[in-house]
Amino acid sequence: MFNLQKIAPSTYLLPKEGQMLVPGLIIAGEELMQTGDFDRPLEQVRNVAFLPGIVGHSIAMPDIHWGYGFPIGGVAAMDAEHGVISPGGVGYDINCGVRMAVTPQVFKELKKSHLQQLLKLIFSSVPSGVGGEYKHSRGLSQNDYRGILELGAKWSIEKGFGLMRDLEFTESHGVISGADIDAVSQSALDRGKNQLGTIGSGNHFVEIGEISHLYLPDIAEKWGIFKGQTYVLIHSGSRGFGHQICQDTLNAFVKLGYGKDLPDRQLIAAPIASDAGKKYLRAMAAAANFAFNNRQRILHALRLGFHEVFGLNPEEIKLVYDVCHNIAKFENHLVDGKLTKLCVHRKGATRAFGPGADELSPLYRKTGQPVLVPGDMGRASHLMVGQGNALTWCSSCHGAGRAMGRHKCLESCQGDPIEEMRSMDVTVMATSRRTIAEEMPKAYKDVDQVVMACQEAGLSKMVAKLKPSLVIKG
Amino acid sequence: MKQEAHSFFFGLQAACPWPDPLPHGRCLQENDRHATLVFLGKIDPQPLFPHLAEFPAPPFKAGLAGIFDRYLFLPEHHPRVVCWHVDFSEALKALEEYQKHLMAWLKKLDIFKESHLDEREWLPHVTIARSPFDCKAWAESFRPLPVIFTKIHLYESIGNLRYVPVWTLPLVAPWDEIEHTADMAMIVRGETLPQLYRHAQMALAFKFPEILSFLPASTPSSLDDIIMLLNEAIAHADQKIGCPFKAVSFHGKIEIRDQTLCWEMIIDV
Repeated sequence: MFNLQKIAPSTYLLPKEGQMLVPGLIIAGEELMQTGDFDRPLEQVRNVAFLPGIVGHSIAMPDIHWGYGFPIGGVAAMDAEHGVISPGGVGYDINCGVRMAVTPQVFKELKKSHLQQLLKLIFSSVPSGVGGEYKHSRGLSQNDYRGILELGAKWSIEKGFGLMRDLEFTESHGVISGADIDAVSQSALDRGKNQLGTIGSGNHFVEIGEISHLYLPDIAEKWGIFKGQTYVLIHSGSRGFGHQICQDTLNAFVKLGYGKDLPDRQLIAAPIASDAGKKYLRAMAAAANFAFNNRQRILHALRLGFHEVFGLNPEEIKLVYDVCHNIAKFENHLVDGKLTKLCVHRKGATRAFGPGADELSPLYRKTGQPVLVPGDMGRASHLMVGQGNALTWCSSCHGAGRAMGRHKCLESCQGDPIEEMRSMDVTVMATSRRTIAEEMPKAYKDVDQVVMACQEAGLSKMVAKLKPSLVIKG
Repeated sequence: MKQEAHSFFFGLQAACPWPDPLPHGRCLQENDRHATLVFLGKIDPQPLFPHLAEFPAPPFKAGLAGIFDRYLFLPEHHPRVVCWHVDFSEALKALEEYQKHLMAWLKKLDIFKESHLDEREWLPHVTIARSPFDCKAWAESFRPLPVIFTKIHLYESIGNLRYVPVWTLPLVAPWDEIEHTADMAMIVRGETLPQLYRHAQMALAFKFPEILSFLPASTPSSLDDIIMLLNEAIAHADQKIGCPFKAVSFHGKIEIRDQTLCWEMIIDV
């Protein structure tokens, strides 16, 4: 069905056919291509190649799986002048992303009773799961929203929820410009008003564990990472605020008739230069800035937890990086030897700038940016360094990628999932046991294979391997 | 010693996201919960079996779904059972006619004495528990729930609140969950657009019953309308109580299969 041609290690070409405007490019190892359902996401890669203004390739990362219009793990760059913006290429959870921080502690030296205390403390202080929000707070006011949208993560930091240095270690310094409250519906404002600083449900989580292996000790040292160190990972996004913005935009695009003549209506897209396209970009930036604030607040809660249990000062918990993996960004890339402004859609994909990229902070400009790759809650996560791969518009994978559907995973779950995780030396807490069952490690591809494919294809390099130990699931 | 004859009846097997635990009472096992169509009494079923090949075909081509909308204690004075009433909405008329048709067909067979057939007005309900029970606890715990009926059985009542199907006619399901790697996906069926919408609502409510309170009572005129109305409910529920769904995707189109409207509904979670 798909005439894939291997063109480089872990790199396959999906030749242009029919109405495809560009060929597809698949990053994957051979083993990964045998895991789970690969046909439907490849069909989606092909469909994305129909979108007006697409340049280069319609790209799939090794953690690709079936998504809304675009596959999850999809990258597509559109010409900023003549191309389109597609909410399906960003995802419902706008600026869903990952934040990693490290403490100075050797994980194995921490008392188990203290770790359990920490887990319970975070679980009680950071709302998670369905309906997990700050129910008794007054909620965000219009003024709060204006601050969040204009300043991004800096707004929370100025309110005492973090350190100014955190901004240096956040993608785009924690703010996407152009956000406009007038582009956001009242429903979105209402949905988000009590959700800032909450994990959400589904595959979102907070994870604490140990740096178990170093692949590139030199880079790790420059980043302040050592073997055995305690790390935290936060995975969350823009919550109901972003979901509603996506929904409002899709409704508007449908009514404007932008869905016609597409192989899949979920790819609905408006010209970037159109009023509808511009409005979405302003609203998307608003949601992105909400998400930066969300992860900033969660990190603050974790810092407070470490302070209460271990007496650590907030400054001792250093943010390594915060990356977006559901976003469309304007970036300059070489197209046919000419520097061209592109709108790069990364949906379930991480920006992976290499050394020398202007946007990066001085430290990462020397090394390349950190790429955070959460795996599953049992086996491992990875810390990588971007290589600035031109073929993929400087992108890399965003996680392990699901291999098994939720329904199937739930049905195949025998016994108590919490006990099963405990047998893997992982303590899990969640508001719903069902979520844990749906998120068991077997539901995911082997993240080691995913990062290996990215490394072989020259997208990013493995720096360190992370072993989860304490997990809060959404 | 002569074995006591058992009662037989035709009933619709109910499936529901049953609450667990339920208040105190002698609860029927989940698989045994049903809506009785025709009670036959203590009969010898053997003469009936040869006729079952001509059992009247049910009219609901796209499945049968309803909502448990209120509790009932029956009989009203000195109640012996806790029941949940089923709101079948627009499907009720067809179901009532079918129940009458079934009764008439059974009478025509001329194999029962008429006194065996219970001809009281049909009340759509499912018995959940028998006495002794605490009325207050059952009343307070009741929440509306979606219910679907997956099969028609000829049941044998074997005592101790157990009911065994001795003959079965499977029904078309209002929806079937299908495998999807990241989200949830279902094939939803309906004879009409409003019924397709209703079945899509029920499918969501099976996963998250609380959404029943947020479903707008509108009449959609297109698939896009259905999707937007479902998403309106999701947004409203998320804002008020939190919701496990992000949205229903603008995915797929309505196809006609076996004279039934079918739609692949994908729910982003």
